[in-house]
Amino acid sequence: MKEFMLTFKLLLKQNLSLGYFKERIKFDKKFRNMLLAMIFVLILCLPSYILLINTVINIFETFQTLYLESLFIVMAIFLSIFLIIFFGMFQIIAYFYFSSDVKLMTPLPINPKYYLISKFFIIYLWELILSLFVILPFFIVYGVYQQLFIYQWVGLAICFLLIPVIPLIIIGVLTVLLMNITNFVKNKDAIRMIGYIIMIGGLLLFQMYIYRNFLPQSPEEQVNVFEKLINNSSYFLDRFSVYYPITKLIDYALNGTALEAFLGVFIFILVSVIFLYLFSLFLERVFVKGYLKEHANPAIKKKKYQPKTYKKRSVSVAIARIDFITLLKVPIYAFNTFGVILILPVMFIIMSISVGGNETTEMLTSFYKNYKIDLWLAIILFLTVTASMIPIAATSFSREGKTNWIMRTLPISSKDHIKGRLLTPVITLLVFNVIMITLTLIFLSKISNNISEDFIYGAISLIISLVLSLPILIINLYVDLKKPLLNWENPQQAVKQNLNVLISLGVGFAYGTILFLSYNFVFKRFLPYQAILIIYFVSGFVLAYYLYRFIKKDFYLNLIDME
Amino acid sequence: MLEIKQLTKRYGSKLAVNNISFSVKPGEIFGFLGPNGAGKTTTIKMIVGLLKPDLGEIMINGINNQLDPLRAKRQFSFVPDNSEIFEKITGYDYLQFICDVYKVPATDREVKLNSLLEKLVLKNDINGYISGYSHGMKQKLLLIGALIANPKILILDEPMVGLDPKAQHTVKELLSEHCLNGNSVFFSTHVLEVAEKVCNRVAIINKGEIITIGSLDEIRKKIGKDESLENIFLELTE
Ligand SMILES: Nc1ncnc2c1ncn2[C@@H]1O[C@H](COP(=O)(O)OP(=O)(O)O)[C@@H](O)[C@H]1O
Ligand SMILES: [Mg+2]
Repeated sequence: MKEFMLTFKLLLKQNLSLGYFKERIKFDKKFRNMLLAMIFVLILCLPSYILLINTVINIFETFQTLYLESLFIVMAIFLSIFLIIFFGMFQIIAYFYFSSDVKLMTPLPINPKYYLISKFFIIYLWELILSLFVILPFFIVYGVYQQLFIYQWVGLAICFLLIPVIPLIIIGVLTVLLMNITNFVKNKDAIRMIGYIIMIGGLLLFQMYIYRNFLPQSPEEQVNVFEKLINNSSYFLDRFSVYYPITKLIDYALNGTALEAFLGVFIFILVSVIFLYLFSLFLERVFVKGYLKEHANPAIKKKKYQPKTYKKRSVSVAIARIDFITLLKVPIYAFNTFGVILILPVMFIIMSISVGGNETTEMLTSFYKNYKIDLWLAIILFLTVTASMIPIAATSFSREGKTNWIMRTLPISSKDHIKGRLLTPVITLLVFNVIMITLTLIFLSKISNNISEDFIYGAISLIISLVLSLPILIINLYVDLKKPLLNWENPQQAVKQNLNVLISLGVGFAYGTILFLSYNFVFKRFLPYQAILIIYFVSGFVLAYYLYRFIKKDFYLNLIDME
Repeated sequence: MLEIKQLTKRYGSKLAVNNISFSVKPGEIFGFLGPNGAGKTTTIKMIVGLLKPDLGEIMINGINNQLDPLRAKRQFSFVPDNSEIFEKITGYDYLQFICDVYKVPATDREVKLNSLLEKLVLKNDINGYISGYSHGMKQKLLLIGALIANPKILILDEPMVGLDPKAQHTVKELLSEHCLNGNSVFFSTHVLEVAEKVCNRVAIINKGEIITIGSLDEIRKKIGKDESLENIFLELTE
């Protein structure tokens, strides 16, 4: 326990050190500006968040009229597991494999399991922070509407804290196994990326499968379920506990008598602790062994000199080329940037597969007919906001780290700098958008009766979403130009522990909120959709142009004043 | 070629460079000599645009590097003391990139690169990834990159550190060659011997201040005949 606390404190300090934070606030003016920017962005995001909470409340109220309260909690658990699959696996890879401190800790006379478990706790904390915003509203809404007793509230709080633990452990075991199995293959990094995508896809597919099995399919079944619901308010929790027994415990904690609630919570804690213990043994045996092998044989290949013909490139293309190669070759960069691009299409495919049945198809056909414009605008919005989720522009300078002197001392014009640095994210986004729109069109071919018209919509959406993403990318670049994270030892710091990535995420959501609000409450009421599309296109362009002018103006001053 | 006027830089309360002035003439190799922590790197960083001076003016080939940084950068190329380069590309990729940036004509590239690679014995490694290079190899690669740009003035921070004797010898030759057409070289070193062998003139800096400027003969005369240069250096910078 002492060893665990020791290492945990060390890691905590490394990850979120308050002392360091205070010092920076006091002495670092740029850091203060960053924080202000961050707060400003958060405020801008507030409307979307309120909207989200509102949706949660609406869902609950609808569910309540149908006696579906238990389904609501199942949904929250589902969502939480989903988040863990989506983010947790990645976090585990990043923290366990791409972070240099494991290498530093292994020679020390501390049993590695303590250290590794404390690492796990850091990931758990991040997961918890995320849940605080996304999952907690579900529980609170449930608690308030169901008028829970005090002891049930306590149970609810403990359940909320414990829910991520076991799924995260399961994901952790799967991840470590994946990494161990792929330890000796050629092109290890590429195979791992594919393995990672397949695994996430598989897990989501499994989740979808459960969810579908779980909802009544035929009308008779519906009546049947409805009867059961009236008699048993925990019906869905009961059924879900077949797949995930922990749900039963949560059910007791939320809906049971005082004794049941106590027992439920107690057993939940006990099971979590047992899982943690087993996981620590697993890490000690399996992870450490694989990790040591991983770093035993760095394969250095030597190629002989062969004269090549020299190919001339424009400066911006030359910059983008190096950027691309580096993004592909550093595994943590590839996971962080191209990972998103591969996962979202996979998720889309899984979701579209799991939508089926004649009735649903008919429903979707009429839905699409009625809401065609809204749907395509939603796609534009989605693709635009995704631009902020791919941290390429936001880490353009940070990723250069200690090699930043190269680009800063070479005679590269600010125009070439900006063009070259935007080229990478723009091409990446272009590929991503084409994939997503193609998939959408394939899906629509099942339910739409005018596919050639859809094709035109798709092409227009592609162009508009790209144009609308430009301002986001330029702002991201500007944030990173103002205060890049250069002094890192380990590339994962540049993309994972970089405030700029968070800021750009916030900027993206704020931007998305503005787009949504302007459409839903203003444009939609007064303008035909063609005019709306033109407005978005033109304003995206004009905004991008002025932002470009703005960043270009002081580019060199910022370049000199970077450190 | 390079003119520094009353340059000053503080880190917090620490005065790292204190009101220094000197100039490097065309065709000359100028040594910036001083012990560790004297302020050499700080001065060079201000010249190449990695650090903002608190006071003073830097003219590179007649261009103010604060007012017109891009044009100023076209006048020089720079090799730092830490040899940090992009790790995930090959040495060849790096050199191509430099050629693209400085717009080196395609015909020049091949001939000049080949001869530089041969002279510095890097030919066999140039298609390998830079992450597999030793410190010395990176240093050589950076030097080739700086030379292929054929700048008016070459600025080097401690260029001899980490090179083997043969490479050091080659570098000295290359630097002299570079000055033949009226180009200049400005480099820092904490080793007197290096300065003695290659420099036309030196400035000796200590604790952020320039103590003396001139050819080593002139400096020797100024101090007095009997002493060895070593002693002079030690005395001046104690
Ligand atoms: N980033 C920095 N922050 C604070 N002090 C610094 C920094 N860089 C250098 N210094 C200080 O400035 C002085 C000059 O350093 P430097 O120019 O690197 O010396 P040299 O290159 O001659 O060895 C040293 O005393 C050093 O401690
Ligand atoms: Mg130095």
